[in-house]
Amino acid sequence: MILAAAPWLLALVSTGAADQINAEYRDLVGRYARGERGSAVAGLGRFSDAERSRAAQAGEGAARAAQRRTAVAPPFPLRAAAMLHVDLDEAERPEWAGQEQPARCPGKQAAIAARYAALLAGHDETQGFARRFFVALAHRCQWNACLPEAQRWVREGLKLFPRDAPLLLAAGSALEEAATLWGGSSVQRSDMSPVYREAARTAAGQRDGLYRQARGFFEGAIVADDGLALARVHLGRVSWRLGERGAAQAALEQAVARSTDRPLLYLAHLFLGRVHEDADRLEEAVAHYRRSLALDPDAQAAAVALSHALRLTDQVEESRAVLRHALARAGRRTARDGYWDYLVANAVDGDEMFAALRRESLE
Amino acid sequence: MNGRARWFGITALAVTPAVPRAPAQAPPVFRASVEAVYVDVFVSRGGEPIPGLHASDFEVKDNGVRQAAELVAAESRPLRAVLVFDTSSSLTGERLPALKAAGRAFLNALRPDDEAALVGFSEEIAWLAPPTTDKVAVRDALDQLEPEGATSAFDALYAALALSEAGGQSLIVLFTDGEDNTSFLDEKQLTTAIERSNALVHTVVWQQSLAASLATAPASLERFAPTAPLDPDHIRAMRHIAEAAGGRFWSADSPERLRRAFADIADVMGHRYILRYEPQGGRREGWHRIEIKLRGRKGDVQARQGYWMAPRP
Repeated sequence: MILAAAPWLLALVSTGAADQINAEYRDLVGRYARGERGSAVAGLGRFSDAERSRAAQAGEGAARAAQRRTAVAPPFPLRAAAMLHVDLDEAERPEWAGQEQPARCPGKQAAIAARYAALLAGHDETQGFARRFFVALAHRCQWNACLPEAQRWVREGLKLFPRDAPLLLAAGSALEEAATLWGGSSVQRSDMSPVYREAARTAAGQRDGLYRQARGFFEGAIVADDGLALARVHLGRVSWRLGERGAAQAALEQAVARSTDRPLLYLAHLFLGRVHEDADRLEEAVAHYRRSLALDPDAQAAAVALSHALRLTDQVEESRAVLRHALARAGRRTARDGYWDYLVANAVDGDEMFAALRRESLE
Repeated sequence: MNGRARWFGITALAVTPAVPRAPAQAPPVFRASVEAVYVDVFVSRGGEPIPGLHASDFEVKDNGVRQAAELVAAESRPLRAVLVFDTSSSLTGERLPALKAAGRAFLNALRPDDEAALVGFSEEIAWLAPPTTDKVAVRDALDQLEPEGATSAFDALYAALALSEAGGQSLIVLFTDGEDNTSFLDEKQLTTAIERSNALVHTVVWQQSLAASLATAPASLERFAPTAPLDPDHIRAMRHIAEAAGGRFWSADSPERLRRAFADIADVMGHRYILRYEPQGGRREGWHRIEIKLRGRKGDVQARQGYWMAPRP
């Protein structure tokens, strides 16, 4: 791909710093940029950890030096360098171990790639690449249940792009998932010793703190992009988690009003139903659960929610009929229930985003 | 939003589900027109069941009003045992074979007239074997379980409660090895469902040993003898759900302990008393609190904490 003309990208003047770069490393990056991805990744894979770090450090130094001087090219294509390290990271991470939350977290090579991406953020021509790189890395981390890493890369991205809506959404989503799947002991009971009660109270406070942080990021995402209806769904859900039913209802109703996306509307109505159910407005709850189920007639989550609400309103036969239908469809659905993946819905595209960035890195 | 699973496949349960037909009998939520209330009672001392008790040994109160209860022979009330088994992807290694073995032993302990059923769940719930007296059919379905997917334990238990009601009595045995991460319902909603059900629920959880738990607990807590354990929320929820439904919480950290837990559940069911009474002192709609004590004897009494009286249709 021919890049837009940026003096520092196109000039052919080399620097002293660039001369210190491992020649083989420079060659590997060049091969990657020419589309020889497999051999480039394999070649870098033969470097020791220390050799990779030294080569990348020299490359970054040369790139920085080039940035400080106008009309000086970086030592090699930086986008290709970033993607080379990302691909090596992916190739070297251990295979899924078969657990529900496998630890397949992007590591050292992803960190090197992120440093290259940060260098790209300072230029109009490449900052779009850099911005999407951090979103993709955060999504890949969250998808792999590496929530601290997801938060780390989102923070790094937000330092460079503080008002970027997808980054803000990714930040909130990783925090929301961490809070929701939080496996501690937060329920305080009267039969607990004071020490345990205090520990549970502290833990509950920490979890709510995560939800509050998530809420802040979702609000920021909406400010940055008023049309980001998914952020409103998340804002509604975390507001409900925090016991703020009014705010939850308002955010979810706005999501419904601003979107025509069926999967998103499915979630919004499902969550609105729960807000009304908690407020003992059972007829409204049933109505929203019905709308949710109508948007995905085979969905189990909506069917369970509706069935439960119908029982509360003593409509027992319909309650069981709804449930029976949903269970009869088990194993026969062609698409997944959107509720199952709600917490990671925005993170599903990490690999696709990297594939697009990889194409952009070709020269 | 997407059609891709994070840590599980698209088809969570490979076995074609068999949804039970609508039961012919009335649901077990006690209606104002229903005459009698049946309560399973377990009596023990030092962990050992106390046999040979008579109706006169029990004091039963319904919403604080003393009731005239009689004992019903357990043999006269066949059980409907619903096994609700976690098949999520964490059930790897020794866990799934151990669960299958424990389930088979439990089925063998049922009486010929008792019915059995199997519900499997990951993030998706499926009736893998409808209620039947043909235990071989249930065993066959059990043998086909494969681990895959996430965990919707609360939703699965709700489905078992709601669909196993058939006028007779249901015993639900829920097994899970991990934290619920994809249920829509939470503990509060499930407790409400239990209050409106007549099912007896035992929960069996595979969890790390106490020593391993302590290793991950805050160090400052080890010095204190707790008056109640600091269970993770999902363990505490399973304990609470079982107790609310008159059953027990069982913990296992090895195949042998799992086998023993299921054997003990079967044993406990064989030593239960069934008390029957026609509520005196009002049939008001809503929650009825049941209190059962022993008269003139020492022992631990375990029974469901109450029932829900639905309005007249």
